[in-house]
Amino acid sequence: MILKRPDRTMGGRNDTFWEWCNQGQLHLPRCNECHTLAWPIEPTCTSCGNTEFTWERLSGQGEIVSWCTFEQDYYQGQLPLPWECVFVALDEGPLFISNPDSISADELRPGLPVTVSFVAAEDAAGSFQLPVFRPRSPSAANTSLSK
Amino acid sequence: MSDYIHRSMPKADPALSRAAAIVGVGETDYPALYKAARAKRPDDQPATAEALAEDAFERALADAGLERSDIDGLSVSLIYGGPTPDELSEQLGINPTFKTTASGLMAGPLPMVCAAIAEGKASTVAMVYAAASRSINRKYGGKTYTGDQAGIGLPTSYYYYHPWGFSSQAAHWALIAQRYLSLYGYDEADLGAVAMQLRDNATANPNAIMRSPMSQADYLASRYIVRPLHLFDMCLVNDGAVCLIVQSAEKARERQKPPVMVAGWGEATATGDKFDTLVRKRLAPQLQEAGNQALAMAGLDLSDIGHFEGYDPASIHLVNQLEGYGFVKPGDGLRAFREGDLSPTGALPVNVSGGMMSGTYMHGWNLVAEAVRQLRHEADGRQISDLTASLVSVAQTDMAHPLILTRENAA
Repeated sequence: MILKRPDRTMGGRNDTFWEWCNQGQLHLPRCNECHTLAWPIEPTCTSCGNTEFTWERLSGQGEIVSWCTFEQDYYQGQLPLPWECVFVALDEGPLFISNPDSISADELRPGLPVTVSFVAAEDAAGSFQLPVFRPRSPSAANTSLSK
Repeated sequence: MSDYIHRSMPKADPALSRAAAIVGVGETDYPALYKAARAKRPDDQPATAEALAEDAFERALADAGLERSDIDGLSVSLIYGGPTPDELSEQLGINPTFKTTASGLMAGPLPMVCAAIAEGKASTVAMVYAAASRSINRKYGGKTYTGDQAGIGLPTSYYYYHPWGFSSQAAHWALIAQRYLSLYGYDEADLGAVAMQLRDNATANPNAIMRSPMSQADYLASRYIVRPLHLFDMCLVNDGAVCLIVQSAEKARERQKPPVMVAGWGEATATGDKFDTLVRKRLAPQLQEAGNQALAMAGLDLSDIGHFEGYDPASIHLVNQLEGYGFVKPGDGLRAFREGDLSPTGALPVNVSGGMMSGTYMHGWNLVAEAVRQLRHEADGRQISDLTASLVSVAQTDMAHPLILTRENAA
């Protein structure tokens, strides 16, 4: 089932991010100057203002920091109510807003280890793969890299 | 010619402590405006910012016992737009030599005016805030926010996460609330203690909008906005205006009512990851830093503060501020609310007029107004005994701005 989604922010490095997602991989730009990984991706580094970055593949692993459930129709019917968002701290540092993939209510807690998975989606710019997060056992390291 | 330069906020400076005082406060009739806006009668004109501003100004002038001719400064904070300082001066029938626009949020305007008075730019300044937010049908969240607005200061997190369905300021508060509840072992009913206390406070304030009692069942039955936040966890949206009249300390002492001294202020803005600051740190470093600045400037300790008015766009943010300033230990905020420690008769009265959640949403200006009434000892029906010092805090998602107001002759 293709999920119709509200629009992504596209252009410049955002396009590269989404191209990597279409390959089933999570890549982010790292600032050449201060070495901060950029997320969200902005025209310049939000830490130091530099404009040169090097793309880096991430493990896709992280842990749940928090979550919330949308019950108010902010997207005017575009997404079926209710929907849930998770807030993930990636192992490499960046904080990532996303959706849960098969995380049960019982499991959901700060610190729950998760790993990225990708689901087929579509917005005004076309079809794409959306990164979401599912539970992983702490010993299942690097399994997402084998995709 | 008038000077519209946006002055950046002056740093906390003991030399400016108690240089100026609030001598007049005027607020519009919030319940009447709220009723009128909701009724939407065909013959009703929606309230305009300038009409609301004039109403508040006249009340403040009367409250201060001053005449229009006494006003030599005007600071204009019409948060959703309105007339320029020149236009408003003409409308109000005043002729100030010092005129400026200032932030709509009550974060910066008061220190700026105090500094201007200390520098001799004016001696009696009318600070006017007005919002006709309900009348212009302002909406929040979702597709109203797009990346096109990034250039005019729209936060990235309001639009960047649309593909995942994450948007709105409420969602940011929800993430903080959920983590807080989970980490400190509270449930959603515990969170309701904030809304319930503020609603209870509002019942003692004739100018509060929401005055019907709220039980825990009422709270839990209110619809979710972004779970775990219920409707009653979020602040009001309403029309209104607030006017403060500020004078030099010297002139303030000539007024009939006790002057409310602007004793201290502070400001700290987070750098680094916004979500980290907000969700994991809950702004604690900024609150502590800014709080220390304000206390040092005022020459006071935290224990001298007998009253706290905190910016409450959502219940959890009030808890963030109470804990961040050090009034309660991290994680103890909900317990303190639940057990009445923060009630008007508790160890530290908080948002005594009902805050923005049950009182009125005036971007922090109503919180200053309450502090003024409390420090004058004229808050009939909800007066805190023997109050000498209040801390009014405006804090957003990346910034903390406390004000310390004191009763004259307080230590």
